[in-house]
Amino acid sequence: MHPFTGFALLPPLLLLTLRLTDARALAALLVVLLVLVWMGGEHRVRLRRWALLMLPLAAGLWLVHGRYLDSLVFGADVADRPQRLYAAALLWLRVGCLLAGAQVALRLAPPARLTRALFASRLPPSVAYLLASPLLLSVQLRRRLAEVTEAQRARGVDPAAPWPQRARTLIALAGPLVVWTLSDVGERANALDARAFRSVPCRTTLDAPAFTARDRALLAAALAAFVLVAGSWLWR
Amino acid sequence: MNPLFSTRTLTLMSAGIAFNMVLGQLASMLKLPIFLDAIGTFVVALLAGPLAALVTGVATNLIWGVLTSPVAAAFAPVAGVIGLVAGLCARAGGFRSLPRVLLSALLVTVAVVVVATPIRAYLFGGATGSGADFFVAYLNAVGSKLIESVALTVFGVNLADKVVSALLAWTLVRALPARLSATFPAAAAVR
Amino acid sequence: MALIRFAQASLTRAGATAPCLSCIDFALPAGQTLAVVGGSGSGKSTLAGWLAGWVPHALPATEAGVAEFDGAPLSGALPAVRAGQVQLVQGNPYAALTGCAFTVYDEVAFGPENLGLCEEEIRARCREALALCDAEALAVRAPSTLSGGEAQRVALACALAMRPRLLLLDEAFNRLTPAAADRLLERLRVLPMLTLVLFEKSFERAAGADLMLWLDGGVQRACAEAGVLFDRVLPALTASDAVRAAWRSRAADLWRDGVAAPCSAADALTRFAEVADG
Repeated sequence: MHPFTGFALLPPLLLLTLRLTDARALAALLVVLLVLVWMGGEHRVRLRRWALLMLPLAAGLWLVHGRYLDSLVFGADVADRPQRLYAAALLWLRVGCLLAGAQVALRLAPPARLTRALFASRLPPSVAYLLASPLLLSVQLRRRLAEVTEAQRARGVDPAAPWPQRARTLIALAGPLVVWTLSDVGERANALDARAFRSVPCRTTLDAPAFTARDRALLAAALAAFVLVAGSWLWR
Repeated sequence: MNPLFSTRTLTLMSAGIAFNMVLGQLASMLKLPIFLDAIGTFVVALLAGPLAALVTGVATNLIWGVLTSPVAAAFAPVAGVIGLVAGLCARAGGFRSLPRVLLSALLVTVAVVVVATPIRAYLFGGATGSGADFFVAYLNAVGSKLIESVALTVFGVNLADKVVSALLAWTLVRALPARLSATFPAAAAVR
Repeated sequence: MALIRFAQASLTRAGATAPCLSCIDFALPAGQTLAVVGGSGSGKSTLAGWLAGWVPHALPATEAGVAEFDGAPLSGALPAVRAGQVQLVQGNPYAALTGCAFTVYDEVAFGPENLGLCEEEIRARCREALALCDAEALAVRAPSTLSGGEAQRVALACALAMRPRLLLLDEAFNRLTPAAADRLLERLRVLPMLTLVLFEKSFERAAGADLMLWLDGGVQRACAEAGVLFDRVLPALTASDAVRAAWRSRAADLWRDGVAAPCSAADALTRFAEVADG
């Protein structure tokens, strides 16, 4: 499947979560989406990522909208707490649905394939470059950082020190990394120029992800869903 | 035809995005109380100007959005405005001395409050799932409206972060060897 | 007609007052090989950048005199436009990696893709370039994991996939074994329609070229055949002990007139025999 297709499912999903005003319906939708995430590859990482965002958000919303500080600390009367919490729960379910939906879409777009698709797309090559190259560069930087950390540790820098000292550690670590990367900027630019980057308006991409009949069908389904949800909203 | 960004600016922006990604992770690895996920944007603002820094910020969050979760993508306008304002400050000589850097960091923070507050208050109900939610709840409890509480909290959290990021970026760019900084013709004055 | 023509050309870096290269004066016909020799800091890499068309975008500088490639001014065009004609391979092979390819094959294909060629043509070029550089086995590797020697072979493959008319090799084989370097160079020499310029510290590798240009402190000292320059350039370069011994005996006037200067260690032994026999 084409890596872009998954993202087409997000607009109708967004509209649907806004259209549903009943917590039970939203919860059902969320369960369906989470099952879809669970059925796909890397489901453990993806579900954990989702939970790491959504569980603290639930706590934060509960704290802010339940106004527990008001009643416990200041003794204020919060009579409308159930309504407030219900509204917060709806919001939480909507955000949760969108995040789960995005995890389903992202599953279809692994970085290497997405990079190819970006370069093969009608986007200018510079945009594709900006979105693709940091992925690879950050892998190199992380490796470099591990080397520098090792070197600093050998010189007695303790990563578990009090935080002003850790801040100094950060500068000591980041400094060489930044200088090293910035001194490579010119070389990288020369390397791109040497490969005729952006010299002709239309570049070729080998093994460009194909846009198949299945993609077209899914896209049409997404569009139909969008129209359907929008229509049901307007009709009411 | 000359493209909008030269190839050199393009590779600088790519390096800035990678800094944002890696240094942000480093800050959380060292368990520092700030995000530091905009240092690369500041560095690009200093070396290549507001437009390049704006694109750097937006692209950083779009990539995070694709890699981890679309929450980062929702905050892309914030990352963009950091670059834009930092770049404009740098153009105007806002990174020539320590007091000026602090003022620039303050301006960036104000811009962040203007853009981030509506996103946090309306898209995420004022909560983020971090310790800052206590402040929002507290301010809310002592009588502020939700949006005011969020704005104040965003300001407090970001002021510290942006001051540290601006200072770090400034220190790093100042410490660049003259031969290297000479290769960025659009660089703003840092002393 | 000469592919490259320099006449009393000099180059001054932006912000500098004195030229970094001066008195550059030579002509190189298409298909021939030129070796630019000189020690560290002699200006070889600057001349390589100049020939690669980096002036003024990637190498801010102003030029004086005549500097032409194929009858047109060498400088001024965007470097990306020149890339289909001229390729430079540098000593640091990692500098040639674009950082947007997940495999070596993608990295080699990146250039031809940017030229907008058709897929079969791109695949043919990649296959050919990787084979010539003995890099087929590296095709599926991630470019950032390559060792120095591997990266040098990949960097050369990337350059060859562009099918340049002029190939500049700026100490491009310094991380390969001498035998591997010589083998690659031999293969490049027999490629049709390719003009080679080597930038070398080693006398013997440079001596195989049709013409030798000696740079010293950014100034062209001489441009002639290797044998003619032998007595003057050898102290500035690296060479094998046999060749160095030949130079010493020539300097001490122990060499017999009429016996040519040697261009390799094997050559030196033969010449010593000739000198001794006489």
